[in-house]
Amino acid sequence: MIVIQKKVCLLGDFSVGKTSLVRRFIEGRFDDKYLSTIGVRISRKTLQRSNGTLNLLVWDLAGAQEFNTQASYLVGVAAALIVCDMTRRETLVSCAKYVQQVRAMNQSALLVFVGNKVDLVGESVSAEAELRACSETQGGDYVLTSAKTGVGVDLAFELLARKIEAPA
Amino acid sequence: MMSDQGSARLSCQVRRFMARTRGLAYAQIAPDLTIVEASPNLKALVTANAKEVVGQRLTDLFWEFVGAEEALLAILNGESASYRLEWVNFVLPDGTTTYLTFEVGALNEAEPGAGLIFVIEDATAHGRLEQVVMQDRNELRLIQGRLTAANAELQRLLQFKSLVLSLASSEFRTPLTTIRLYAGLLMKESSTAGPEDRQRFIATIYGQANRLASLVNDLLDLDLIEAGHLNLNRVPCDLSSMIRQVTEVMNAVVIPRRLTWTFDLPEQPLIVQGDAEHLWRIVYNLSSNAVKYAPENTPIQVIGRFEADAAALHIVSAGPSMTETQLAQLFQPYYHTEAARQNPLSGADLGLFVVKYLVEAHGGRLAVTRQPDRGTTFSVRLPLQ
Repeated sequence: MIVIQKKVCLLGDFSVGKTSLVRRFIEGRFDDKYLSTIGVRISRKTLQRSNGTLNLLVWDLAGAQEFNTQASYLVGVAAALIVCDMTRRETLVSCAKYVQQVRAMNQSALLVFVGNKVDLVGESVSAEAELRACSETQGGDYVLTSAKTGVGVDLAFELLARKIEAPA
Repeated sequence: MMSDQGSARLSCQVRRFMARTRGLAYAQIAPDLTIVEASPNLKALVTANAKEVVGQRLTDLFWEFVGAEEALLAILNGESASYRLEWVNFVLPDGTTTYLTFEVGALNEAEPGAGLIFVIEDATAHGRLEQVVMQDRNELRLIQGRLTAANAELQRLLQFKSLVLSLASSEFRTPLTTIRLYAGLLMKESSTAGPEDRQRFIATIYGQANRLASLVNDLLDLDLIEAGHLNLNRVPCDLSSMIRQVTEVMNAVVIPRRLTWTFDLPEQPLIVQGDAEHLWRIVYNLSSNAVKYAPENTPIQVIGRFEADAAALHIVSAGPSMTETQLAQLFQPYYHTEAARQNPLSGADLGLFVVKYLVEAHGGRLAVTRQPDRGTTFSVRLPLQ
């Protein structure tokens, strides 16, 4: 059986819910308390696939509002979840900046755009349209998620996993 | 393997490090990235399950280095001085977080290919302070963001209030005056007016009431659009059936003006996944627009059909002639062509703006074309999925 190990980074502005998404995906739970991440927290999730095992090394990076994410964190990145908060439009605008940072490190990095906190806005047409436009422009899929309810979280990582598995 | 001389140099470097810092772990890494020597406390920091540290590959023990092999090779090749990761979070069994700094550099800068030194420094004390500062700053930013958004919403509501007041004094007044006038005529002349006159009065009241209702609906949609709160509740909707219902509702205005509907609709339902209320607004506003501007005694053609992966609706009518510039501006809010200004049925003209927004919210496209021999065609294409 094949075992593949890939580095996946979560990037996005502060308080968009990156840590909560990882916690929901890895541990299946949610904590309402907001705790800022500094630096990076690395977790591993093993996914059983039809042809073997895929180990996702999930790098939950600190939200970078005004500084650039440390380049060394992105060394060897294979794929990234670019996360925004559907209740804060400005976090969607920042997505392009994070794409640039990932692309600077790996031009062919695989991307999935995540519109988190969808439980707080329902199906917000304008925010979703902007996220869709962003994903179309930058080249990637998009998923609406709620780390709180779990909606879309597994799908976002599954999409990323499929992209990683897909032949180049 | 390292030479004795190299090993002595490592011990010397580590001693110097330890003199400066507490909470330090280290390892000496061979050029093939296997660990050849390690401090006893390194094992506690290994992220992967492992019984032994020495003899293992660095990337097998520390997830932090998966994908970073090239960066490490660059140090061995003398192309890079170091690879450093700051504030690596390490969660202890009691749930508290320690912060570590990982740094890999050449064991001997004069001979980088000889091997690497990997040092882990415990930066928890500094990290916790940094986390508190970051937490406070981020919470303040969130509060500032909420205040800014609340302010913007307040401004928007004030503007909307002004718009409603201005429309109430202009756009609402005309239909209300007409309704009062014709209702008064009906009351006064109910005994003397003939059945045809009475029917005409009622049709006028009905038409003006519809105009008011349409204006109110457009305003409510505009409010939702501007606030960014428009939600879609997607369900399967039959566009053909909706077209029939909307045009039926409009017959009270269409018949007195001797306009006629011609339909070209598929036999099977024209199903799209959409919000029924908003799709109704799309069909209603486009039909209403055609009715307003079509000259008396002309047909309005309604075509519904499947086009590739979309459901298409085309409404064709002989409206006033328009330049390309006018056509391009037609979907701007409050935009009036000269013909519209002179049309007594024309209102605040929010309708087409609302239609465009709703169509695009459904992932569709709205277009308008004008051909001298055919008239004006408004085309909506909505994705089937």
